[in-house]
Amino acid sequence: MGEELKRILGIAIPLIIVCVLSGAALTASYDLTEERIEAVEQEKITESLSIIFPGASFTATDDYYSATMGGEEMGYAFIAEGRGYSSTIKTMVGLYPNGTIRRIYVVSQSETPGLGTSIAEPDFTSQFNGKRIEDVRLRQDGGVIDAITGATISSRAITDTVRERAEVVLNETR
Amino acid sequence: MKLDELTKGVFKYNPIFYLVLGLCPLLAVSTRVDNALGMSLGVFFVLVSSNVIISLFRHWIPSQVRIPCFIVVIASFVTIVELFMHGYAPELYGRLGIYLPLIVVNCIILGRVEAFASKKPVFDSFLDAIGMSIGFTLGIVGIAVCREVLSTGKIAIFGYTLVPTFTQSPSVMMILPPGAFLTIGVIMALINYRSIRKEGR
Amino acid sequence: MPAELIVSHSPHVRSDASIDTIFYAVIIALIPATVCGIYLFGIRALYVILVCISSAMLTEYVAMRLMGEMELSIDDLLHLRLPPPTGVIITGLLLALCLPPNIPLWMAAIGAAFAVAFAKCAFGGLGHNIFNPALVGRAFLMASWPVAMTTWTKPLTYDAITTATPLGLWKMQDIATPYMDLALGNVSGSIGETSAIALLIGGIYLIAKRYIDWRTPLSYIGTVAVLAFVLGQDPIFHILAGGLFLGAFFMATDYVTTPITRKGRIIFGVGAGIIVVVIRLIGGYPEGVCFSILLMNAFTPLIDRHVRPQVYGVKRKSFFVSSANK
Repeated sequence: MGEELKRILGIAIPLIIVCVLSGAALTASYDLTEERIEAVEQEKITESLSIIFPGASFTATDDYYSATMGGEEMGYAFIAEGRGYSSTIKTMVGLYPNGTIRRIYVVSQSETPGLGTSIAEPDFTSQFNGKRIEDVRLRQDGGVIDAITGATISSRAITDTVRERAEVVLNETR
Repeated sequence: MKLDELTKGVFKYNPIFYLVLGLCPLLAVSTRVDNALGMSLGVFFVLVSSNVIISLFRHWIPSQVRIPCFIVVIASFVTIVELFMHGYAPELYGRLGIYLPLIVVNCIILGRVEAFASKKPVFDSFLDAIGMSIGFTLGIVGIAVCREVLSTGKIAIFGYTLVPTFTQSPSVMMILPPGAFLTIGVIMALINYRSIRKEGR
Repeated sequence: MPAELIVSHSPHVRSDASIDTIFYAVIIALIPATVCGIYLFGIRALYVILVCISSAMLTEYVAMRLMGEMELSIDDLLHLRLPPPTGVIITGLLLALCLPPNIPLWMAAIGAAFAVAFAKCAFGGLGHNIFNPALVGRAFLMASWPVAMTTWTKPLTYDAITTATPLGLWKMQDIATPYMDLALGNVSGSIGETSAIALLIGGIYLIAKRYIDWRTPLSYIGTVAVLAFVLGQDPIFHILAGGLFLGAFFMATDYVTTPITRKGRIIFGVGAGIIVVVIRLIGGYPEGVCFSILLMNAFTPLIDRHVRPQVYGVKRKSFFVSSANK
């Protein structure tokens, strides 16, 4: 029994030491980078918010941000996230209280370069400006948004997620 | 000769074209030269640190649990790279995406640790890791150059345009996975063609 | 021994058909569709065809030189003393026939070069390729330049008015095209795919000459018709629209890349037909003939392995035993 225990400990103790040391190294680097990562993530959101409502100030709720400028309510901003052709498309959406889209901005996506990535370009996203939520569909689905040639799936994905999230947010604000 | 340990990974036993290791990140990340450089940097750091650490402790690690130990060490270094890249190079972090944590399963790293560092002295392992990283970098950047030129019509590294746009309609396929397979295939064919001709003489 | 008593090895029945005569027959059979394409889409279509054929021939020449299978001097080349470039002309022509008429010529040239270099020569040349080279060329162009490959021109206008193909109209806007236009080819589409009648003439010529087996086109087109009908679609529209006839008569019957047994050819046709309907009805693309044949090409060795002709005098075994016992 003594021999057996010794053999097992001889295997287990080095493994435990390796794990403990690794854990310590990880904790240390997490501590070192935590603040920085949070700042980076926050900056991304702040940047896209200021693209949607330039110069406004924002108060966050659970689901969306209310934008106010000079004490006057401007509208809401929120992230719409949905599955595209080859990635998750994350879009910041600005919405007026009357149910029209102010503007959208693609925060992150990795669709097919040269095709699907065009959804992040102003030629495509500016189509959403001033459109009523219920019209935000592709033309072939009965809406007013022109799909990008050769990238219907990406175009439909972003259009549908923006509309669906906008409907949810609008209901919550009422 | 110590220098052999360094140079063998670059040419003679190039991890990509000779050992055919680490193709998974290679296919995914060789779409753009700057992504390929970022990936190489990650692999360089992880491979050198793991090789050195494992080589240092090679006498204390029982052979029955060596693979778990290697993986724990490698995974820790990968996570450290990931955390720092997230904080200090968020754009690169976003573009490398899932392939950054997947450095853990990059066969080059476990392969070198198991085949080399767990048996050889620290300095040799250090040289081996540097050589293999350079070999990997050469391979992935070479493939990325071909793919980026053909798929975007230009090369831009971290915002600086190296090769200006020469065509308005580049081949989309080269940025998709088939483009990576094709490029690797063609380069390997050329290497083999050359070595066969050499032998023939 | 009297001469008439000598028994030689098989084959006992000889025919004049060689690879070259079959290839010439295929080229002749493609003439109606080619002429039709040039008439419908103008001189631009002819340019595309010529570019594809010459690029394919040039690529094969270079590849053969590199592989050391051909020793030709520059002098031979200048005096056109080339070996008959049989198969490669068909590859170039077939590729051109399934390209949009307004594709930039340099893309057509790259497509043909890719088809010959990667789908044919890289596998070891004539007779060794797994996939139909022309379709590989088309799939490559489709993946590389999707916009140029899906920009179609109106027939008989000759001035590049872009429009959608009948299948595109059906899929995106639910508009049906009259049968007459589909049969005559008065619709937009690839150079050689629009006129069902012209393709049918060529196909029947090849079947009558016994150079291709009627089973493949019949099972292929039949499957598409039946499946379309069962799924509530218009079967006549689905067999006339798109590249089905071109694929069924000239690509699914390729000697190298499709099964050699009769039963195997029927399996091939049915499989390809199912894939076409699946892609057309639920896939991302409006047309699926190209991918259906390429996918079935990949299954061809498997089909050939499991569907063996019965050996004369041997008791019939169950379908899978022969390979399971190996």
